[in-house]
This record gives sequence, C-alpha cells and structure tokens, in this order.
Amino acid sequence: MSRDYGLKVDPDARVADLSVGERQRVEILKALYRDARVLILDEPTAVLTPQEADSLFKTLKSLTKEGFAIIFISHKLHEILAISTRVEVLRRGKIVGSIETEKADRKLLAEMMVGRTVERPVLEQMTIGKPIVELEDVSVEDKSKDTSNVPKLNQVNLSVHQHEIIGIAGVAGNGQSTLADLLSGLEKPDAGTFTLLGNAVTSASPADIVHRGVGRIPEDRHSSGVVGEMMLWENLISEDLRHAPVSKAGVLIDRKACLERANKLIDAFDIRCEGPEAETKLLSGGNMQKLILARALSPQPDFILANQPVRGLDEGAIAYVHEQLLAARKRGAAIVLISEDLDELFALCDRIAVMYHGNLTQSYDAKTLTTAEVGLMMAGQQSENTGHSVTTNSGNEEQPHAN
Amino acid sequence: MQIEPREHVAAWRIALAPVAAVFVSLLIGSVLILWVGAPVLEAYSLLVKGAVGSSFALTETLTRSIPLIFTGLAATIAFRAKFYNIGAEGQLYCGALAATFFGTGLITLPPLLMIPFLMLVGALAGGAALAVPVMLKTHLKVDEVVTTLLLNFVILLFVGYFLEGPLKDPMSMGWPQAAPIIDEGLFPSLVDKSRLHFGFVFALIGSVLCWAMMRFTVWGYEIRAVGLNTSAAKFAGINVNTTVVRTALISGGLAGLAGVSEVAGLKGYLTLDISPGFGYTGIAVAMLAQLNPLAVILSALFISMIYVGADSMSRAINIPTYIADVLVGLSVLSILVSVMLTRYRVRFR
Repeated sequence: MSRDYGLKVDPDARVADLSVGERQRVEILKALYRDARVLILDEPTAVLTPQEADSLFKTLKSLTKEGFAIIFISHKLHEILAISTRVEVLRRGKIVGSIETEKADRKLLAEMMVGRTVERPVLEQMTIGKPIVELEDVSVEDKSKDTSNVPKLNQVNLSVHQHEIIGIAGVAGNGQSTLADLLSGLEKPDAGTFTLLGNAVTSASPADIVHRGVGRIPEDRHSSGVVGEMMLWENLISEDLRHAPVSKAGVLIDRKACLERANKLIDAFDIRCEGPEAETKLLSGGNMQKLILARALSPQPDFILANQPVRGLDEGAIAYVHEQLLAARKRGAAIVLISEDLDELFALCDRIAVMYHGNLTQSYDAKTLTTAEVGLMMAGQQSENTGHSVTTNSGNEEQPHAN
Repeated sequence: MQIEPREHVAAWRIALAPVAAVFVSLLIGSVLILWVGAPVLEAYSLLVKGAVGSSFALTETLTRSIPLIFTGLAATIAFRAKFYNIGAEGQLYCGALAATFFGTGLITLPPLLMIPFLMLVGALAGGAALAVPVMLKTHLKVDEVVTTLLLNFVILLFVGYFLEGPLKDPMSMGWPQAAPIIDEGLFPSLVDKSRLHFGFVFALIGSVLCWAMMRFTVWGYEIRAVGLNTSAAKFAGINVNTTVVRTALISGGLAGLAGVSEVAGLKGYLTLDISPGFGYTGIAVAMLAQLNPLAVILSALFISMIYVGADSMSRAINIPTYIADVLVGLSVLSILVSVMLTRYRVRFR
C-alpha cells in the first residue's frame, strides 16, 4: 500500500522513531487500509515543514485522482487555495459561504471568515535603537530523565533591539518552548549569558523578569495564561500582586482599585465580556488573548515575548494582536515573536531566525529571505557555515518552490 | 446517557445542592434504619431531639463542633491549594501535645496571655507536623496524601510514648494521661453548667479570618490561583512552592488549634483518645462546605448534630451508633454528586 499510494514509510520502524511527517503518512495509510473513501484532515500541516507539507499535498492530489473525497480543514488560506477544489467557510459553527477555489483568493476568503474586510498590517520602516535582550551562547540543559522529546537550547545567540521584531520560526518541538521559558523567566541559562537591559539574568523568576520590564504572551492561554475559574479582574492583576495599587503593603488586595483598572483595560483593549467580575473561562479565545495582552502590554514593557500569540484565533482577533505588537514596536519595544506560521513571521518581523534541534540560526533580514529558505532551515538542512543565500550555495533539485 | 457541562450555573443551584444532598442521604439512611427494624421517623426525630432538643443537647452539639470547625478549616485551606492534607488528626495531637508541654506548669502567665500563648504554640506545633511532608512534596515531589496520612500513626505513637513516659501524670493512677492544664490556660466556659467553652468563639473567629484571608488578601489569591491552575500561577510569577508551604503551615496550625481547644477547653488534660477521628471528619466537613470557610461552620454543626444526635438515638431505640458514620459518609458522597450536578447536566437519549 505504501508503494501504491506513494506514502513512503519503513514498515519495520517503530512509530516513536518516525518524524512527524512520517507518522502522518502512517495515519493516512491506516485510514486507507480500512477502506476509507473519505479522508478528513484537521490542520494536517501544523507540525510539518513546508517541504513535508508539499509532499503531503502531492499525496492528497493523487488520492483525489483515484476517487477519494477529502475534507481538508485549515486556517492557512494559502493551503486551502493550493489544495482544494471547493471551499466552505465556517464562522461560529455555521457555513457562511461556499465557493469554487478557482474563483477565490486570500482576501475574499479572509473577508468571508470574519465577515468584513481585513487589512494586513504594513511593517513601517524604522531604525533600531539600543539592544534590549542579548543572548550569548546560552544553553539550557535537559533536566528531565527522558531525553527523547524536547531538545533544549544549545549555545543560542540572539540580540533584540528597540523598534525591532525578531521572528523565531521552526517546527514545533525544536526548542522554541525552552527559549520562550527562558525569556519569560521560567528557565535560567545553564551556560552563557542572558542580558536584559544591560543586566544579567541568572535565576529563574517570572516575577523578577516581569518587574524588570518584560511583557509575556504565553503559548497556551488556557493552561498557563489565565486561571479560568477566577474572575477577569483577578487575572489582570496576577503579575503584580504585591505592588500598589493592586495591594496595600503587599497584603490586602485593593478590590476597588483593581476593578477600576480592570474596567479601564477592558475598554482600552476592547475585551468583550459581561464585566470585570465575569468568569475568565467564559471569554472567547480572542477576548481571552486580549485580556493577556492587556496584562502584558499595559505596563509598557521594554521587551515583549509573544509565543504563538494568534494560535486558534479568528482573523479579526489575529489582526488585533498584530496591531498591538506593531504599536509596541513603534513605541520602542523589542519583540520576539515565536510562530509556526511563516506568513505571520514574514508579515510582522524585521528579522527571522530559525530553531532546529535546540540550535538557533543567526537572524536574517525578512525582506531578503524566502519561505523556501526558511523551510530548509526548519528541516535542519543548512549547516552552520552555509551563508544566507541557499540558492547560490545549494541550488539543486531539492530546492522547493517558493509559495 | 450523556453528561455535559452547564453553560450557566444558577446561584440557587449552588446553594441548594448541599441541602438536597443532605436530604438524599437521610433518605438512604432511612433504608438502613428500617433494616435494623426501627421506625424511621421516630429514629430521626430522636436524632434531632438528641442533637438540639434541649439546652444540654444543644451545648453538646456546639461543643462537638469546635474541633470539627478547626479541622474542617485545615482541610479547606489546604485543599484550596490542592495540597491534600490528610494528616489533620496527627497535627491535632501535635497541637494538644504542645499545649500540654507548655501549659502544665512549665510557663505560667495571666489567662489573658496564657490562652493565646497556648494557642500559638499549638498552632506552631501543628504546622511543624506538616513541615516534613510539605518539604518532601515541594523538593522531591513526594505525594502528600501518603506522607500526611502515615504520619498520623507515627504521631499517635509518639504521643503515646509521651503519655506513658516523660509527660505521664504521676497522679493519674497508672492511666496514660498527662498532667492537667493549669487554671490560667483553661478556656473559660461559655454557658454555665455545660461543657461548651470559649473555643467555640475562637473557632468562629478562625472561620471568619480564613474566609477574609481567601477573599481579600494576596495570600488567599495565591492559594486559589495555585490550586486552580498551578502552571498559570507559576507563569504569572507566583512562587508556587512558597505558597504551598505557607498553605500547609496554616492548615497544620488550624488542625493544631483543634488539639489545643480539646485539651485546654474541653478535657483539661491530654489522653490518647481526645480525638475520635476529628482530623478525618474534618475532611468531610470541608467537602460538605464545598471548601468555603464560612460554610465550614454550618457543615461542622450539621455533622456534630448527627454524631451527638445519633448517640442519643441509639440509646433510646436500639440502633447501632455507627449509623452516624454512615450518615456522614452518605452526605459527603451525595454532596459530591450534587456538586457535580450543579455544574453538569445528565441527558438521556
């Protein structure tokens, strides 16, 4: 079957030893083996490199030729346009439109998704200021017993300046979350130096790092961003409990002052809710993210870590998050944006670096970089001494098409 | 059959849940009473009469509720931080031991200072009894349910050693009991010719203080945040280990106070049977109160009503006293089910 359908996998390999792309092929083979005629793929490319995604697309196209029906669910518009013959657009659980792919384009689909025109933000030209965050040969060791899964950090170098957004690309699980943990104060460097605003960071303390001017947007807002069962206003104060005006002498919480502040932030960040005393878990994803933005960005931090800040959000909320990051950049913040969505990185970032197996490449000017080059680096195909331009150094058949 | 979460939980449901649960448990309990061949209504009316029917019964019920309020608060505060302290029984004895150690003549202060002093050392001893389990949890991730539970037996044997040895009262005619607490340290009586003592007031104050701590203070916020979502609390900069240790010390201290009040308020001296499992019943109290410190008062009163009432019921008509344990167990089980039913609905399809 593997040969017939062009889904190359080693049948004797243990699934644990396969790459994510290969595991996905196994998954598809399983479905085909059970005589499935309809395949449903839900965000199948989320953990794939662009090259792996291309090969998945080839497979899917050949399957449709053999008479399979495929439902391909994705929030990446370019994928939808590349793979489908017909598009159904869902909004709040209803199909709001159906269109032949030939007649569709990104703008149209985005409009259908949000129900209004979406303007992609334009990156304003700016000169960078002084460095805010500097990592020099920072390593973070794997302290857990099982060494199988997450690669930690290996001699990472990075510097982020005022008025600058640095994007971190990479396939999930290549050390981005450790980098995020380091920059949000949950991890400390085991080797190398982490300098924040001229002072070294040597211990792991989220409270300290927030106090020193870092705003953090966590990867998973439900599990580490908010306490769902607590009220909105309570989640807005969680990062400075022991300081005025939130609490008096660090002991008694000043509920009145907190509610006042919450009301202000709800207005300023347009959080749609029943009020500051509503339960946080009742918020929609976009509004919950706005709450986190309000908490992280309202103290005007010098450095912002945004880890997958738009994951799972609708187009309207995505645009809002991006606007806020760009406004912070304009005001002079230094920003690290970790994302698996290359479109997002290219739209927002001044420079882009790629993580692979705990290593971070140098950062490249986003204007001269192509998605294909990033894709290759995400797959670890560029050795460290290879220069920026992949085309001149290794211009061969393996080079994928830029999309 | 399908269980799905309710989108909106009405306040009346939350308030009514414990009442319904108690009703259901009495209903199930009546089957057991029928089984032993006694008339149900008479049994329950004897139970109520025995618990609140006379001023003697009422003061007995209130007296019995004192240690249950303290141990109920101990469980409430700890469970709010998801620190499962099952060792309130041992911490109670530690508090009682400390009160005995300092209160039997070692130190003499005027009552206005002596009583707070005994409560302080009792609370510290109760907290200290939790220091090792909580350190094991925060540093080595040792499960606290196991350590706190097993420590109960260690502490009980330890108290037994003291009562047979260094702290044994020479006037006790060979009984394993300690010397009486000096008069300055004894809690004043609340109602004449009854056993009800000032500890009841202390327990009420304790409940209000715990409630205020949970609602108005940074500590309370941290306890709730750590209990509800540890990783979010950690991400926000709350020191999770510090919070858990602090919570454990408060919880152990509250359980220690139960021991102090039994020794210095009720009995007057320490024996090995000052607690018929108040530490464990405190968990039931806390669950019944849905971990609300103010509701702990009501739930402790309810449970002590059942215990005191069941005693006199079993004397009046021939029913075994452990029907009380069954009723308490049933009401905790039904409260858990009814709490679930306030948040979820069951659909039959």
